[in-house]
Amino acid sequence: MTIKNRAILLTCLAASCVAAFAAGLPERAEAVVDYRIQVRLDPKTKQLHGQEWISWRNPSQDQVEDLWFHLYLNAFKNSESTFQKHRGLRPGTKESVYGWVDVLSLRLENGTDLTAGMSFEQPDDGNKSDQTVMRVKLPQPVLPGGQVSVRLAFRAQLPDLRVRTGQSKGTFMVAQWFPKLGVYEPVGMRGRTTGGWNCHQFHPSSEFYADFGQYSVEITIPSNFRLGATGQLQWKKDDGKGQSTYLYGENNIHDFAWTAGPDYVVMKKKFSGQADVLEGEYKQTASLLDRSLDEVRLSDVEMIFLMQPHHLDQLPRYEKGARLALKWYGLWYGRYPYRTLTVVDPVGAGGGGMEYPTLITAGTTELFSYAPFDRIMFPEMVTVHEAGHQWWYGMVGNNEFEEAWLDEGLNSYSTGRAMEQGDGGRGMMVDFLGLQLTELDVIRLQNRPSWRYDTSLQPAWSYQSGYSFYSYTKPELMLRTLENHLGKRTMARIMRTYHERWRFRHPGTSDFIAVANEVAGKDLSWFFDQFLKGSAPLDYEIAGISSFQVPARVGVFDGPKGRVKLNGTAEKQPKTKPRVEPKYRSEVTIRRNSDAWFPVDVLFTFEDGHKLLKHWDGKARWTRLSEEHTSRLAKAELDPEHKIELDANWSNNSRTMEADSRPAAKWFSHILFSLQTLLGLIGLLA
Amino acid sequence: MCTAQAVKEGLQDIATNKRTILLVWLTNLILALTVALPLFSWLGKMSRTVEAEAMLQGFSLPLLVDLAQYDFGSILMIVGTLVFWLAVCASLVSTFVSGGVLSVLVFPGREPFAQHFFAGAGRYFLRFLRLLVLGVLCGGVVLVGINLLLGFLVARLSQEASEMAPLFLGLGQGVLNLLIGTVFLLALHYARIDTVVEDRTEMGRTYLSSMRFVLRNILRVFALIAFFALLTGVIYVLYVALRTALPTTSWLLILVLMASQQFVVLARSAFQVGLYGAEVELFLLRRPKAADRETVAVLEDALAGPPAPVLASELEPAEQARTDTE
Repeated sequence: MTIKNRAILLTCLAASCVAAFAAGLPERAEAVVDYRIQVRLDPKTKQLHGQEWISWRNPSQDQVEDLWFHLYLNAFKNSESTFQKHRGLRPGTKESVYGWVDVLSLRLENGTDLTAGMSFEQPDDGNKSDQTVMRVKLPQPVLPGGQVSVRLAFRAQLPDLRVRTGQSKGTFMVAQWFPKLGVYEPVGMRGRTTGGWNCHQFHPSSEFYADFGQYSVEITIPSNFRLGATGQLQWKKDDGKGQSTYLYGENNIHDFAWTAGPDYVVMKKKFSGQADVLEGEYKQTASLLDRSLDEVRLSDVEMIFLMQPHHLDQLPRYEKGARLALKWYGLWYGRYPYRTLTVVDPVGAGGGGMEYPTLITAGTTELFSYAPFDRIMFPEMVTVHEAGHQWWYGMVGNNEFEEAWLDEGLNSYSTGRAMEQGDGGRGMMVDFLGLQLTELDVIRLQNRPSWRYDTSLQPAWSYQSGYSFYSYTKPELMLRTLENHLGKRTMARIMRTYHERWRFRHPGTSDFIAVANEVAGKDLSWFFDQFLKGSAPLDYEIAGISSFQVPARVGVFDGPKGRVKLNGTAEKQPKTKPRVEPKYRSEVTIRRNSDAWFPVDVLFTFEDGHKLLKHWDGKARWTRLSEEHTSRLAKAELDPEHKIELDANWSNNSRTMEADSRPAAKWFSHILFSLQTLLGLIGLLA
Repeated sequence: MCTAQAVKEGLQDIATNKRTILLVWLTNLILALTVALPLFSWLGKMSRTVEAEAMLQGFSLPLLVDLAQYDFGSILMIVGTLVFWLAVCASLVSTFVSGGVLSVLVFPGREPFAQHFFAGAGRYFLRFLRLLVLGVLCGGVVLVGINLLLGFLVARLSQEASEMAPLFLGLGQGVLNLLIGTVFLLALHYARIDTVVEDRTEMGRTYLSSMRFVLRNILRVFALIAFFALLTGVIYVLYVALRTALPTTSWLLILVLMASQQFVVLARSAFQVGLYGAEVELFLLRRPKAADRETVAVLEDALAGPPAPVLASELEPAEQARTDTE
């Protein structure tokens, strides 16, 4: 084979490898842990009695000498847990508020008792009273690639419903209920330089992180209870004595939650990859993402709704949200790989708005059934968001303790886009008594220059305040700004590639940035360093504009015909040549009020209708742009298309030459009238 | 019959007391401007921004928040403080003005108008202020007690009931508060009328006897206030309809908006004067007879201490003055 042909062959092989790597949706996880659980619910005592058989495979090159478990329910045990120290638990609190989980026995498969090696650990804050992390020393280390199987018995006390776990009005929401292994991160995973367990304590604003595997769970509950759980129902048995046992199972997941209660009404609907998505939408998506039609096709999913009886009329709202998520997240990022999606209409405010693999809790209230409250799109939005977490957190299993933005931020961005698809592109979130707010309005309302003391890339429990802003809102604004900067096509491909590459794996922030740089074909570190890793807000303003007639020339000028003196009087216009129009010089001063910067466009609009778009790299603290034209400047607009959604203040992004007091006068009148009405009431009372 | 007559009298008072109505409206306007004008100055930030078009077409909460981005906290604090002190001032001013209004209504036809009005306002100010404090204290104690009880009941009932139950129970609680509060408010109104008519000086007794009057004539007094509240409501509904139909994007339309708003305030001031007039008439028609009053006074004297010194009062009895002008 000639060198040239060899080079061609190698190039083709490399290209096909890259193509194979880039294309294709992983359909299964590299399973690290398997859980088989048997649990019985005692509704009277609100306790769970359970047994677990856990098989854990060492994914690293290290010899692992211990196992680390999460015991999340111990966060509700007493006032001294890390969780309660932040939330507060006052004397006189009723006992039903407490929750805990006890490991009653722990043995290896061969019967070796491991309880002597159990200890509580506090890797985050050293609070010795916190018992949400348990370490178990193994008699023999687990070799690289090796496996260890343990059997564990536990008893858990469910509290009154709080943080989406517990009992309310006879219904049980059971989440984070069993002793669950942390994640052993090998060298190289998420930038680690040494391997080790990643197992954080339970904090008020932190969520979860666990390994992918198979779950097989037998749940025994009273026969009159209705059950919803992660995964698919395998079988159900009644014992004839008022108890029923259900077996649920699922692969490629990293958590298991369930809910049971006598009042649920179970409704089933079907999402069809064929009927619910138009062929044109498949083609459009395939073209946008540069993927084949087969790669973007969606599968059928059974949607199971567990509804409160008095919310049944709102089922269509949940259904709409679930369909939007299954369709658009599926098209954009990758088909939903599971057979079922369970949507729970929770009892009580403490149970709503949460995600678990293939099961979500949504949330609504009877008030939303009545006009004008039915125009508040909260039930739809929360369903889309929680269902969307199946992609961001469920399939792409980021560490929610340390990098919450990777699921909450990406999902908030995706939720906004999906909601826009649902209402013809407007993304209307609130349309209530004349007040209209789009998704963008809602997130921008939260963006203030005062948010400058934390970053989006820090552990969830370490925020001074504003966990929600830094994990949800700011990343959403950041991604929307990035999309406007790079273009919809590039952004769509970034998100798709990131999902495909990290589906059923544990990525970190640097992995997302690497994909963004690769797909965009440019170094975007200047962007992510500022808006992800940095704390500075972003705000540009037009500090001033002016437009004046270019003054006549005065002074001594050297020309082709010799030296000429001009004194500022009008120069004689030659009769044969066209008359020269007076010129105006327009100047626009732009200031950067923030430490962060971003390239900006500035639109000059002149009185004669002429428009001119100028560009500034935005790096200096201020700049002055000028232009000469035959007409005065009418107005100047910074970022006229509102692409920079991270800019905290759009009201200072434009300036007109002439003031228009009509808006101020109109609202002054309304304010005056409102005050007069208030004073009239006081006059009647006093 | 009494109620109808009182309403008729009240409506006639609107026609015959234009200067009083104008004064009430002007006071209201001046007080409101003390807070509105600084806000107008702040709203001027919108005058040179393209985004303000949204505020001309409708309402943009995001723009309003953006305008306040760098001084959010201080704006809220300043506006809150201003509104609070405005409410305090308005209470005092309203107490002062009501003395003048009642003087003009009870002793009509006296000139010069301004001297009559302000003399009356000054004369009764402290007494009306004492009545106000009494009314607020008594009403406050009763309302707090009732709400403690109701709050407990609502909480217990809400636990087992549907999601909407707390809302309806809360609304019911609100309505009950409104009714009870109105009784105390009406007692204050009639106590003031009694003070002017009979030149009362013992405010405690006056308030008590007015409360008795209100409770004895509960349907009549509520009918009066409901009638004038309904008239006010109709005007507001018409205004809202006009505002919904009117685009308010040009200067002319904005001026029309302003004029319509001030017309509403003027009409409300007129109905307020009309209500006072109707209440005066009802009081004069339904107040206890002289003999009955003597018996009550004896009983009250037995309970209370020595009477307070009697201030110099107008020469004619109030009723005779009202009859003379008719």
